[in-house]
Amino acid sequence: MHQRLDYLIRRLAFSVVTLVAVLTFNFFLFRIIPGDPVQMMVSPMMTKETRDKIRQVYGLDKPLWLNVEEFQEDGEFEKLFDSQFAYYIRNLLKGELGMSFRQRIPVSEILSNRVGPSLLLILSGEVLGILFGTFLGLIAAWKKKSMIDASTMFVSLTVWALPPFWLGIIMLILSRGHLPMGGLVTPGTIYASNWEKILDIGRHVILPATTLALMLVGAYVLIVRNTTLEVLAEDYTLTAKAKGLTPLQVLRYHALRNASLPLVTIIAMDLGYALGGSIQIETIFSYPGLGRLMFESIGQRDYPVLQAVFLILAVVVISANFFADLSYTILDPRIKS
Amino acid sequence: MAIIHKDPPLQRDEPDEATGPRKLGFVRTFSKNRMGVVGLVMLLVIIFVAIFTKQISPYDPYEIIDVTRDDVLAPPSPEHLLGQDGAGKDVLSSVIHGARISLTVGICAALIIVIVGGVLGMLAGYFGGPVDTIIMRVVDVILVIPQLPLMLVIIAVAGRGIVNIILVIGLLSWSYMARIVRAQVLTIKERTFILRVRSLGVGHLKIMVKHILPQVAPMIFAEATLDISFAIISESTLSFLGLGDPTLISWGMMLNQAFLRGAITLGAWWYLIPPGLALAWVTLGSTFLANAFQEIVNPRLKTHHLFDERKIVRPLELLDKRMSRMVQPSTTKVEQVDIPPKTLLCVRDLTVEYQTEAGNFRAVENLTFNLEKGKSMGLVGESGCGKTTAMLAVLRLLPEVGRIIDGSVRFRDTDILRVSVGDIQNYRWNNMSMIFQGAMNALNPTRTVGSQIKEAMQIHDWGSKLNIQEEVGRLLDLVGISPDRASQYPHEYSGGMRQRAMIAMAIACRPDIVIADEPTTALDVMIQAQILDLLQDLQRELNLSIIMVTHDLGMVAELCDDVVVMYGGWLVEHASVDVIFNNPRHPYTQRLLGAFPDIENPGDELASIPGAPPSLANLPKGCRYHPRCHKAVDRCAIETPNLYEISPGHVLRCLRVESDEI
Amino acid sequence: MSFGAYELSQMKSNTDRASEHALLEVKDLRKLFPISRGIVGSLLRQPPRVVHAVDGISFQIKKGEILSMVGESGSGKTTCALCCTGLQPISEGEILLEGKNVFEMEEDRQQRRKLRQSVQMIFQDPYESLNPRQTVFDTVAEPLETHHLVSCKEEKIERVLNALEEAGLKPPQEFFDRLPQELSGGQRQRVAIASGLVLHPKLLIADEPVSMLDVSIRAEILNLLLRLRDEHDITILYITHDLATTAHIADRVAVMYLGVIVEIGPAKTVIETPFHPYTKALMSVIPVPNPRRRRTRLVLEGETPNPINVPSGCRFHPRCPVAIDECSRIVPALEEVEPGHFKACILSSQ
Repeated sequence: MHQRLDYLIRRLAFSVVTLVAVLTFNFFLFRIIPGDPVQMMVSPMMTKETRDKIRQVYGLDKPLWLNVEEFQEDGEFEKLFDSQFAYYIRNLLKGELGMSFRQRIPVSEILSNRVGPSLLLILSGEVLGILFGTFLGLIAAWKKKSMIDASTMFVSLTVWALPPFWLGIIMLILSRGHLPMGGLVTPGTIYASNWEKILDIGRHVILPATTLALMLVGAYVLIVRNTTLEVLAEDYTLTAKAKGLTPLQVLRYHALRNASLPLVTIIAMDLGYALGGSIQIETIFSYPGLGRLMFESIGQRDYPVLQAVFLILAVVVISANFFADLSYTILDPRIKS
Repeated sequence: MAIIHKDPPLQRDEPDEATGPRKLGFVRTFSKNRMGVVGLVMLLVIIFVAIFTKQISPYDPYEIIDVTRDDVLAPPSPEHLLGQDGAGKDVLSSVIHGARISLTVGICAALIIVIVGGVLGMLAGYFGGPVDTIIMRVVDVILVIPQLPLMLVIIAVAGRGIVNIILVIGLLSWSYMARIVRAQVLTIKERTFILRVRSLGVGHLKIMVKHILPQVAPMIFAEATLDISFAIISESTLSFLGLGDPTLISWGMMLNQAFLRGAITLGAWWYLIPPGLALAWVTLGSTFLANAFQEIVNPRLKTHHLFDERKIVRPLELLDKRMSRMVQPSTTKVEQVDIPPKTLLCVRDLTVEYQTEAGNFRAVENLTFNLEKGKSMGLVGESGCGKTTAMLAVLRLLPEVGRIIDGSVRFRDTDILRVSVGDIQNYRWNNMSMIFQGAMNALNPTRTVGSQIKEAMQIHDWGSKLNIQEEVGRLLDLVGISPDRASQYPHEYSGGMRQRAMIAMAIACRPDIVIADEPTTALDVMIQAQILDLLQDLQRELNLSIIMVTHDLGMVAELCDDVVVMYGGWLVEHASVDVIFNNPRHPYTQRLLGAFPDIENPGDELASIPGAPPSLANLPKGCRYHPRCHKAVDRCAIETPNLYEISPGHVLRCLRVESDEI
Repeated sequence: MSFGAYELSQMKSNTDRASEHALLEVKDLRKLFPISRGIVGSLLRQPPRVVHAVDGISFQIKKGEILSMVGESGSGKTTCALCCTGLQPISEGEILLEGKNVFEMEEDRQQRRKLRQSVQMIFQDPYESLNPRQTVFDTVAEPLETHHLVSCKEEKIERVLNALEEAGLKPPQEFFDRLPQELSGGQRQRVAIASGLVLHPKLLIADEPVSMLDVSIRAEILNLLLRLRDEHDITILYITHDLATTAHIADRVAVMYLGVIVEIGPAKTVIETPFHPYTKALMSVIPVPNPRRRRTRLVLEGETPNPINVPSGCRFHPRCPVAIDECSRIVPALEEVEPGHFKACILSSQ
């Protein structure tokens, strides 16, 4: 019991440390650029009022890390932390993510519009990928050396090896004329009912989601196949066979669970990869999610947006990994003691 | 880069039998892997293109040329085989030049990864302690942060440039290599030969470089090949998203330009497909190559237990077909017709072969014996004698390379070697069960012990007759385990308890025969005695026949009624336990008894037999025992002895005993 | 009880050979492995837990003697062996090699070299003891190179030849280029022995050297060890769980249980007339290759307890068939019951 709790505490501490590392990194990255760091935050295209407000909110005239001079002057301990970094943390906690250079509206507003579509894309892609990956991986491992295995392996390796953006390009080329070329909804449409709207969204999501699923299936098939092969070569599989179980029974009652446990951790570990893929896929399909936002903000040098999207993605992956660790301790009895 | 291993994959040394032929060389093994060869060829093509770029490329894409309107996005033509791009340049030339960029990035980044990751992983694994903790925490942090977004952000700030790109890719990707190297080093470090070398006084650096590195190197190489392709993809993704080096023409940049100029809507496939295809070519090539290396480095993935079982007995089917067309002389002199009424198991001429890539090996030849109900038999022999193989064959549980090529196994009236797979599944556990050798992992670690015993009964439809849950409790109690431990997992049981649980499971369906293959190896002396007692009790209470496969003559003397002695795949002597121990006739049996220490006569000299048990690859001609036999004469090397009955119930395989010479 | 002529001659020459000075002396050796309490455990102030691998043992081995340490898993015999080589640091006590403290020798570079040359270890698994990628020659030559004991190639070849021949691999040249996978288990074990012999060690610690070998070749290796002792005066510490092979090689036997020595004495008397209840039980359950002999087997119940939770008083008392109340309170010390034969039990011997 204690071991489990210990493990969780350690993983939680690790997640927190990683988060702090990410925050610090995020903060410093945009302030080590040669030139006036203030210019990163304050675009010359803004009005004077906006620029002053930003200076105030972000304490841009304060020192970077620790405010030693004011502390030595005043003697108050709190003054030591009256620095840009402190402002940065405080703002984050308030949900204040800055002002977009290009759009001149708060970054948080821009983000909130994009989170939904990204969530939809990633969830549908992952679910499809997990279902097909597990099923195909199990079958491929079982029927090792057969045509099914060879072709599954070939397709999975190929899909895993190809750059996701090229996969998207191919999908687009193949589906010209049959499915919408991009976006989340057909622009300018007025819907008769909510159901129609959902259908329209569906038609738009299906290509990007399938591309994402394809990208993930390659990896998932490989991992499930590898783990299943190991499981099927274990002594306990021979015991099950000796007990008179048919191959399907062995797969169902022994292999399925043991082979899919590691998948839980892999899904979390590869979430970063999935997010990276979604950036490329959303770009190609002009899909209005966080990924495409990242692409746009690179082109427009909209650093506050770039910074914020990176932060969100990192937080998502760190949390996902923690939850994967959590569920693993529940699912794998060996961790219990 | 998608990670596909939860715990880093470990390189395994292929387990070898007593003596084996020199393992097939690396080159030969590799050449048999078609995927690997294809991958290698694909990469060689690209390397060729990258080296001879100037010679192959029709134009120089870096040259500033005059372009007209017609040149922009022009489709393929005789002067421009792949058409022209958005700036009017020749697409084919750009693609060819792109090879250099990709390979440069790939190889440089991979070098960084191998050096940084390899060194840090080795240090972390070897020294452990604080060094390990620090390095691994850094690795974990890097691995958790999403890679592509991080790369994007850094390049966006640090500036586009090929050096930056290589550095960023290399310095963010070494962490996975460090992790897998560390995991491998940890296992190697614990191996006995490292301990021995340490005890010799060899220094740390020398151990790492001379002893550990050669073991890890193949795996580093396999992963490095993969890293080359990941680096190339990363660079092309960065370029595609607008962060590539603007002064260089790479495939990613080409696709970026194509995309931005709307090549998709304009249908300019000649601009879109070739660079992508080239990318796909390189990454597929190195993935195939890496996959081939992985399979060599991790040989266990070759085969598993759930193959098509019919293969095992296919040779018998063919043999039967041929036999039905002609008459064949019997190969043994032991009478086949006379089967005593109480016989449970009648094995005749059982012959088993292993058909592997390295050749065919005869593991068991002409094994013949009877087993009566309620009687127990000891199957005795040393390594390579075929005793385990023979028992696996009886239940048709041989591995995929095993083939039963002759013989019959009659359980009561049915030859179970010739029934369908469905039928043998019914016989398994119901009539005959088996406890495997070294079976510390014979129970599924993610399921409770009770559920696995239950499963045995459910599969054979015992559910309708009794309350299975109660029966599980009763069985555990019978073997000396408290019934409430049924809900525990195997790792919560000690080694001795696990073995008892296996025994409980083995008798769950009240079989007539239990085959116990070295049931007490790796257990303490006292636990051995407990298990032995348990088996004796069960034998009596349940009228169980136990076939005890072992090299321990003491156990056989305590438990068994009959003994079969095997050597080099042959049955050499078969008699009652009394006769075997007090009047053995075969020279091997005689010497084997002498080699077994007797604690009650500690002063007796311990005998040994010169030489070693033969390997299946090099079976002696004539009598298989003759090279080591203290009674051998010249003809023993030429003539093959057959099984013959020296007296009722005493079977022997020796030329000289047969002709009353000894 | 009869002894073969071989054994008789051995016993005689042993008493001649055995010097008064001990080659190896172990005094009150304790090796404890702490178990981490974890974060939660520390917060809850749980008492720290310790594995009592070796919990206070003392013995001596005279030069040219063969001492066997017998015990089941958890008895601490392997840990003790590793401590004697200096590779495993100890928690308490002293280990003296020819009067010098082994761990002080570890501190000093030159002394450490000498220590490595003097004490060599043979391991249980012949398949794992050798580097699979090194030829036999390189394996046996490596210690010479490490300790800079040879100046030229010819000398190296000669010493390797000698070592291989001593270890029974004839003709030795034929083995130079072989890889471990081409050798049988017995041959591999000989190569491992040769790689130790090449340093001319004084003490050989053999940890279950024959348990993974085929029965028909065990005697050869045991006889090899005996010959090394006879011809080169090498002292041997023989670790095993197999009391039966002990009888054929050991001069003296020490029986271990849960980290302590429960009985120690000449092999003949410990095996023929054991005093400690544990030794008696062990002796009675060892399988004997004779179906007609029906002895009373004293099969103990339960298993050896975890070395973390060591029973109070005499460690063996929970499983002892003749234990009385005091056994759970008094920790028995080794007392002499016959000349040279000691037991750790408060009950008088029957």
